[in-house]
Amino acid sequence: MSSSHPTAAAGASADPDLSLVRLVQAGDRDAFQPLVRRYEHAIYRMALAIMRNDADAEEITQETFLRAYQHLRQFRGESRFSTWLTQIAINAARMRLRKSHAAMWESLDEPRAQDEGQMAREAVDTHDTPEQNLAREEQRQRIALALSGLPAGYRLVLVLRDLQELSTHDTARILKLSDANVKTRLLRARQMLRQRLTRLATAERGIG
Amino acid sequence: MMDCQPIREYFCALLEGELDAAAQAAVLEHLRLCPECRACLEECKPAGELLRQGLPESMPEPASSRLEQRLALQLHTRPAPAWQRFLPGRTGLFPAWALAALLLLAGSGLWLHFQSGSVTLRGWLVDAHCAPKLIAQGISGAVHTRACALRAECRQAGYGVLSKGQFVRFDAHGNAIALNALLHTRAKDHLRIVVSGRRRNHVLHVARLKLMAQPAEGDTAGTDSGATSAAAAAR
Ligand SMILES: [Zn+2]
Ligand SMILES: [Zn+2]
Repeated sequence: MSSSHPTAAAGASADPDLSLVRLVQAGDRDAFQPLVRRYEHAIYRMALAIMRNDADAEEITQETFLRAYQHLRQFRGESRFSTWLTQIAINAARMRLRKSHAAMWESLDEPRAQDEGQMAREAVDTHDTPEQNLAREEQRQRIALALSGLPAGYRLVLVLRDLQELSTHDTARILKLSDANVKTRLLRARQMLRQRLTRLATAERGIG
Repeated sequence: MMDCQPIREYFCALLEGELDAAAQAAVLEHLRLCPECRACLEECKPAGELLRQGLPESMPEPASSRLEQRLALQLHTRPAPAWQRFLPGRTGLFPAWALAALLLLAGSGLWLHFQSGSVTLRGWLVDAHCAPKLIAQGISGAVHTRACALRAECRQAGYGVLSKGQFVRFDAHGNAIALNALLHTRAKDHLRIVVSGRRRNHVLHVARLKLMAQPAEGDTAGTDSGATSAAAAAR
């Protein structure tokens, strides 16, 4: 195989990361940093959406970039680099979900203490008025709670399609599902999310 | 009553824009007449915006620094030097004379004027929180980042100079100078310093501290150039 042969796959021909990736593959370690900066936040948010706690999300983000660096030679440009990264992160997250399966079921109904701690910290970090902060925080908390209540298989589809904006086909490939299955789960996941939100809002009004 | 279920089977294709004109017209006509299906379709719409509202915009700063640091360690870690492979767990293979020689070597690299009271040390500016970890893993202080050093955890631990696997802490005055230097440098890592003062009870009472300019391109993180030059000067 000749590495100088221009064999970019059709889907990756417009990949904005490809030149940096090629530099790293050629031995320029410093070219990896901009790739990290470009995607750390997206990967972290995705991991947080799936794991629903910041410690796991951070761990998965670290693992993702470490593995990406270690295995970058295997990246052939058949998909976009960002999709490839997403795939690594998803694999790490699923491994972790499997390990903490019991804990996951416990978390279905009640938010974990660390979630609340994280939300409190984020509230302090923003620069808006207290009222804006409060409203945003309440909404964030509701969404986080509704999301963590979805079965993992639905949450993963929802996150890949609607947050990462991957295609149905890429999502299916990464999760090893059929395209049809991804479509069904996606609609069901969106419905479940919104129905849970409505229920939460109703319950809050009932209490307040 | 209308039969809604067959209509709802088309929602996915409708949202993805995959319906042909005739089917789309039929579904839209049903939607016009059926509030339940309108509500159902509303629930099925893309939820990206909703998800984003439920998540922080970015990774929190300490996590971001930790990622950068862990990567820096990984990117700049070379295979462990031969002598390290004999350390804990394999000490039986390690001759005592070699250990003694090693300790001598490590000591001589750091101290220029060991006995005279006043010393000048060259090495990397590192905080007391991170130094033990770097030493334990046999990693150069060059990879320790400014961002990490400015974290509360690291700031509160105090600073010192790391060279050839040895860490010497600063006194309060030294910490203040180091913090000031960190706040004013544009260097992200490779925080090479030359610091002089008096050493008392394992603490360096700093008189002068200079943060050197970024090293040249060829001066990689793997080599402890500060210590090398100190060792050369000592000879
Ligand atoms: Zn209907
Ligand atoms: Zn530090």
